Amino acid sequence: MAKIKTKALARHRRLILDRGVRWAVQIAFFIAFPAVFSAAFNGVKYAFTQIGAMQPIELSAFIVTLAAVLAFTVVFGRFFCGYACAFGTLGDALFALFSPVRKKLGISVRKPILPPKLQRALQLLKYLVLVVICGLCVAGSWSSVSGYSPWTAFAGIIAGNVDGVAAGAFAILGAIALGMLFVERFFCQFLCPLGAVFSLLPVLPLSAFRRDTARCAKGCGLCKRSCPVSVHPDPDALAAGECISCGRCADGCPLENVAVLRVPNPSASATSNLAEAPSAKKAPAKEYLVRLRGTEVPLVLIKAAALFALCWLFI
Amino acid sequence: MLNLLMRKRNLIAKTANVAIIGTLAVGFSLWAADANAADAMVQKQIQDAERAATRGPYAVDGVFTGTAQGYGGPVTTQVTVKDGYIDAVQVVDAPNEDGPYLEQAVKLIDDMLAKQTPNVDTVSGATFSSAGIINGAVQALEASNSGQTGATTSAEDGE
Repeated sequence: MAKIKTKALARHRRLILDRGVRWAVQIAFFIAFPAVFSAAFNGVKYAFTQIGAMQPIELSAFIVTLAAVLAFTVVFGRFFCGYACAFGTLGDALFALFSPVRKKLGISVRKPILPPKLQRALQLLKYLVLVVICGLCVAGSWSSVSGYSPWTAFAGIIAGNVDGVAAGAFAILGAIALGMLFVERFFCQFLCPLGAVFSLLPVLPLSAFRRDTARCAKGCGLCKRSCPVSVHPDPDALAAGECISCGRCADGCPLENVAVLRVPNPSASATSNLAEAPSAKKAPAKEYLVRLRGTEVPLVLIKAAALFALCWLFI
Repeated sequence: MLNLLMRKRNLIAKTANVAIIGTLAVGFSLWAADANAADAMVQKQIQDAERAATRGPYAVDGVFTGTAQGYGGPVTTQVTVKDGYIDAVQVVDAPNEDGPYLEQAVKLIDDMLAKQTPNVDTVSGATFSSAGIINGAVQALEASNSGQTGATTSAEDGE
């Protein structure tokens, strides 16, 4: 039993460390690049506005930013969403600050405020947001409603310059903030049009979190419950586009069964894998030659550094 | 093999999707650039002929500047008035603006030149920098209309 305890303890420590690293990266990006998400989405709006006006899409700064962020996402997954987006960090911060109140209200991971099916349905809403915004841009009428964009209100607050931002924009930002208090990543999973673009991107299999379903405990689902957007770490599933590469599934799995990279050790037999449960006494051969959970501190820092460099160069 | 393709069908579909959209965007841009260049040539000839014949709405020719608040600080805009028309608009100093936003905002200058007024729509996504340029240009043109002689008149005197 003692062994289990130390294992659980080690897992808990790792979880705290991973969470700390994530907050540190998020805060660093929030301070250094609070406007990248809107700059990147401005690239999308710009492209569609140009198409509507029958003008060529030039390699403007916004398009370059967009291309850089998209390319990064194809290679590393939606690490930008999980670790670097200022609006996502705002949501995470609000959600974390409100957790005592949620606890009192009896809202928890086990008893979420939204039924899973409704949550999945709402996740599709962001595609509608994307289509409507792009449609308005093509029609050339986006500028007549853009004043109500919550991102403008957010930019105004960050810049300390709120003159000329419509009250409606603050009202919408307020409503979104309210949602962020109750549902983790409320804006990101339900409304973010840039998230919709990211969801449509192919992610190289190398960076995708995946589980070894053969080793999963039956009916466990802890990875999905740990996930802010409630998806299983199955990169081939359609819902995998929602994954924001935060790595909480890897932290949440009690069997350490979620990883981005796994090279099995050929000398470890398959049966010992199954019998690895607590009662196994003899030390089995090392199960994997290489295994990356995807949340290792150096790995996260490498991704963060790459994204930081990209933002530095192109934004 | 077929099994693998089936399993990866989402990845394949998304890759194809990106390839198609990328190709369309680039193809469209090349086509539109060609079409625009031809259009612009004709427009320029018509405009030149018109401006040679009549004087524009702004009183005094010269170079005027105006300064107004942008996103992170003051933006100084320089307007050149020639034959009473807005001949050129330039952002000469914007120490505290974010590069990409400013770069996006300066596109409204084309609009100013086309419409011959500083009162144009802000560039969506770069609202604050746009406002800096627009208000600066308004100041500069007020300087022209108030009869101050050109060169580098400081618009702050006018306030």
